[in-house]
Formats: sequence, structure tokens, C-alpha cells
Amino acid sequence: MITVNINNQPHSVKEHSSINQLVKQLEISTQGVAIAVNNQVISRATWDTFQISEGDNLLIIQATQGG
Amino acid sequence: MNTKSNLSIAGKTFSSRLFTGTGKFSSSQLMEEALLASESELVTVALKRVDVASKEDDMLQHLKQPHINLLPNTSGVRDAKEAVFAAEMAREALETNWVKVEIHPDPKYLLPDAIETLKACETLVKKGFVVMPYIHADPVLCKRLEDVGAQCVMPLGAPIGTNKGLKTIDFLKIIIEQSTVPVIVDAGLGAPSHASYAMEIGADAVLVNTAIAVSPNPIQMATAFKMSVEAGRMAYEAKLANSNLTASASSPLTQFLYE
Repeated sequence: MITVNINNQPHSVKEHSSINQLVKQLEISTQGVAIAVNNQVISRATWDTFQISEGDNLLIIQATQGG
Repeated sequence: MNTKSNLSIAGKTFSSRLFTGTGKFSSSQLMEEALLASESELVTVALKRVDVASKEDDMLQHLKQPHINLLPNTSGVRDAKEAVFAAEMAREALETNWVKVEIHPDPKYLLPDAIETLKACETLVKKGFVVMPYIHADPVLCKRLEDVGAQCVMPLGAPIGTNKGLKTIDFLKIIIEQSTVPVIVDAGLGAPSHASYAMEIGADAVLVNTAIAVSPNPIQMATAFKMSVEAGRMAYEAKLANSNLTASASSPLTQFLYE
């Protein structure tokens, strides 16, 4: 297992996880979601191949109510 | 100033000139029903961090109608750099290159930072975004935004959520007179009469959120705003009569009861 920061909270995830595997482990909806790793936006097309590493900072955002 | 009946922004045509926000509704269901009543075709959403621990209601499920286009905003960012990043995240999340650029670091008045907004828009336009900048009613800034390629401008009537109406009316008139891109009056419109007034003076559209969302009857209020925007636009196109200091009789002044 490795530790990564997701939205500023430490999480243990399996080593060599791709973004796709990560979102499955977290059981979050991927509809309307965007993910950045270390301040780089990761295109959905590369979620399957992009591997996360120990200490990575992930930002996961979604739409919410706003004006 | 757009004088056609349909509004066009960056090549996209809108038959409704009422844009709406999704904030402050008491439930997603009520939001959906109010937005449908408004007939709005451009609806703003904000961004937030996903709470990994909780499974929340997905508000996007309530915004699935084919006539509704989502307009993500950058609310919560403090400067141009963060706004560009937020826009790129929003593009990825919602598959739209439209963004309402909203940079208001001070939470008390939520007034937009003109310098950071201009910088962000310049960068975002180069990156292929359609930018809709939320700004103070500053005619000079509007021209500067046009110069960097902003496809419209969104000057405020009054601070966000204040419901005070068109406090910036004189400057909005100058902006509308000078603008070569659509002018959307955003923020502070608390009553349908405010929206109608904005349309009567030639605004191309208005954006309303709080006044609809916090009404005890948001669906009826959304309908009222829809009608007021249509009435205001219709009056603008029909051209308002001049105002005068002295009276001008609209009935014949013949003294028909006595000689």
C-alpha cells in the first residue's frame, strides 16, 4: 500500500494503482468529476494508464450548486 | 449590444435571455423545477472538492434536460492562476469550454478583482475557452476584456446576493452603449422589475440566482423572472417613449361639457 493525499486527507491505496483503479477503490461516482495530480489536470482519457505514486497530492472535484 | 431577438454568444444561440444559477435552493428537486419554469438555457454551477467519505445526491442528475447548458464558475479562487486551473478542471469535469470567470477574494462584499479577472480571461481565451467574466460595472474594464477576446461581459447590478437591483445603472448604460459583445447583467437582481429594467435599457441577458432560489415559491418566482425578462426585452426592441418634464395630453382637451 502507498499513502497519497486526496483533497488534503491521507488515504492508503494499492501500489501501482491507475486513476481508474483509485476511483473504484474510493467508490466515488466519476460522473462530472475531474482529477488533478500534483496540480496537473489528468484527462479522463488517460485515467486508465496514469499511475499514482507515494505522496502524490490528488484533487478531486465535482459540480455543486452555485451562482 | 445585440439587437436580434435571439441572443448569440460565441456562436451559440439562446432563445431565453434569462440565465440562472443553481445556488441556495432548498433541494435539488425544487431547483430542477424552478429552472424548468425559468426556461433558462444557461445554468451556472460551482465546483467543490468531492467528499470521499460521503455519498451525496448528484446534482447533475437534476440538470440533464437537453436545453440546459452548464456554465461552471470559478467561485472560490483567489487569483488568475487559480481561476485558470479551476477552468481546466471544470472543462474536464463537465465537458464544456465555457466558464464564468469569477474572482472575488473578499467574502464580505464578494466584489470581483478586476486585475486578476482580466489576466485570467486573457490566458483562458488563448487556451480556447469561452469566458464570461463577472466584473464590476466598469466600462473601461469591459473594453479591456473585449480586447483580450472575452466573448461577453457580466457586470454586476449590485453585490452578489444583496437583491438591491441596478445600483450601477448609469455605468451599465455606458457599458451597453459601448460594448461590441453581449452584456449580461449579473448579481444583485432581487426582483423581476430589476431584471426587466436591465433588459429595457438594452442588456442582452441577465443572470439571476438568489432572488429565485430563496423565494418561498421558487417556481413561481422563476416564472415571474422569465416573464419580466421577456417584457423588458420586448420593450427595448419596441423602443421606449421619451420622458418629459411637462405633461402631454393623451386625451383630447376640448371642453365638451361647456362652452
